[in-house]
Amino acid sequence: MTKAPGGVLAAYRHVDAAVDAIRRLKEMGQRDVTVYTPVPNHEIAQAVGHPASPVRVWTLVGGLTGCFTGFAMSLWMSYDYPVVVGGKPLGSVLPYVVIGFELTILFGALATIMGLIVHAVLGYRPAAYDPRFTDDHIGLFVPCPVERRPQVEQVLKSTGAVDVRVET
Amino acid sequence: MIVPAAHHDLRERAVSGPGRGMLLLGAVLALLGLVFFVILILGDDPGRAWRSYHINFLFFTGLSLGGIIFAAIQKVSKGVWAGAIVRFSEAPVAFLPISLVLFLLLFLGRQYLFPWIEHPTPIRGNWLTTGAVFWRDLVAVFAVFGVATAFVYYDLQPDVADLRRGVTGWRRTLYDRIAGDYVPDPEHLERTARRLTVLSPAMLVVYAYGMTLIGFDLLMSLAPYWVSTLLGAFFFMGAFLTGLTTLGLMMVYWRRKLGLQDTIGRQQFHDLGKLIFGFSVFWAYLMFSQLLVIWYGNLREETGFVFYRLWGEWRPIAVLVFLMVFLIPFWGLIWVKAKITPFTFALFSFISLCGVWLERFLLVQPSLTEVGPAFGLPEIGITVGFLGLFLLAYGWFAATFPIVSPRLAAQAEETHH
Repeated sequence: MTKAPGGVLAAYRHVDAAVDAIRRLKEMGQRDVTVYTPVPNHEIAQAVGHPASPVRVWTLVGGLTGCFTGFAMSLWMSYDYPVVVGGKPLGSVLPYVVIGFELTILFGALATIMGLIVHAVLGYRPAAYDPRFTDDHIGLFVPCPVERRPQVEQVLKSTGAVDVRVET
Repeated sequence: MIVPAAHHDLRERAVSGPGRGMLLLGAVLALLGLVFFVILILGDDPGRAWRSYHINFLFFTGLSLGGIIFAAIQKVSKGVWAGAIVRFSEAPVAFLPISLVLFLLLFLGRQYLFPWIEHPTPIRGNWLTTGAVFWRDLVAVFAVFGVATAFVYYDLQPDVADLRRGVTGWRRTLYDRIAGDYVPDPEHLERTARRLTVLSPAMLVVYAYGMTLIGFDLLMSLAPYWVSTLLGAFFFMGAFLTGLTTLGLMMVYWRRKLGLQDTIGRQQFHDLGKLIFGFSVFWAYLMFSQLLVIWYGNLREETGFVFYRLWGEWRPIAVLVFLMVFLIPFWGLIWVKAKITPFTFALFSFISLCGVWLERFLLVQPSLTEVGPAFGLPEIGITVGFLGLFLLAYGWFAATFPIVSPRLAAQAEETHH
């Protein structure tokens, strides 16, 4: 397993303090922050922000491919092996909407899972961790080079971290 | 509950009676519409005026109830994110008494609207006879409107009791009357919660049953030999969509008018945008699932209804409806940016709202006329009149009652929405 990069790990007991720290770190230009929280929390989610996931491009491409495949496949099959059913025209688009729709969902979902796996493997960024973050503490891990560490540590301490340690 | 200091300002704004402009505009438009309507029904084609009346009656009644349904869904699902905006969707309750009168007036135009009066349909038994239809629908209308009014009444009571010191004159009398013995102690809070717990699901059920009946009797019976079991659901889900889009437009309007930029933010726009997007898709789903079955079955008594609307003179309207209710809002509201920007959000809501009006137009008109679509004074003038009545009722509600609930807004903020 890849070793975690060096940085500063802090534990917080209070949401407000952790949110404050995230905001302060962002203000000083530290964009890469890993946040652990034992329970989902709106305030933390808001402080972390809404970065767009790269997986959504996979979903879009997969969905469009599925839609095209669904229509193309059913139309091609109808004309390639013509059987008139119920007096309907050979290439009747209306019922093929169902197939087009289903393949949109299927290809979209499969592409999403693929994209998720690809990005999780390629973009894996190990971060330092502490078991308290699954219990009653909120954790912040800030990967940064040695020369920035005192500054980061100072921010983390001043915002009320109960524990700050440097991981190498 | 302790209302934070920041909300004192909100409390003042809530009772400032900001609806007077809307009320005045509504009164002018309603008067204009009434003049047009009277001239038209005394003219040489009263049928056209009545058809336009019928379309607008169905559209605006559905729109008012659709908004209240949104509020009821919030209570059933225990959602609080809409706390600051939920009153905007309850305000159309003031239109319901007007709608009741409009329904009674519909009785006068029955000869022009319902083909089964002139050509009875014994194959349907006594279902489609004047007495049966109007009595049945009167009961349905009373039930739906009654539950809706009671629901809004009890959701309004705590706010009215809380804010009654901020108003004077006849409003004070009215507030005192509604508030009754209500004080925000645990016992009364529990009583209100219990009442809403009963009324909100009741509202949903009564709405679904009542509107299905109204859809069958007042919409489907216009083509008395055409039957679709789905039409009732299609009718009331379309009405719910208009309730949501109207709420969207009102949210944008009141946010600006009352300066609620801090209270109504990204979260509300995003969530309501998602709902409108979702129900646009649901509208298309219901439409398609009915169309597919009729296309497959290819039964003469079923295809006529669809054929008349999708081919020939009505085709452009059908295409327009599909574009305005489904494709344009689908494309427009799929983007997060478009949902959280008030301008684009309002634009796509407005397109969807007009689209559903056209859809009602498309459902009613071809059943009753031989000629193709026409937009003239009867359609536009009477629609303006109905819009006027709606704005009149809405403006009166906003001028009388707290149009934003400081209590529910604080509740939403407490949970960080």
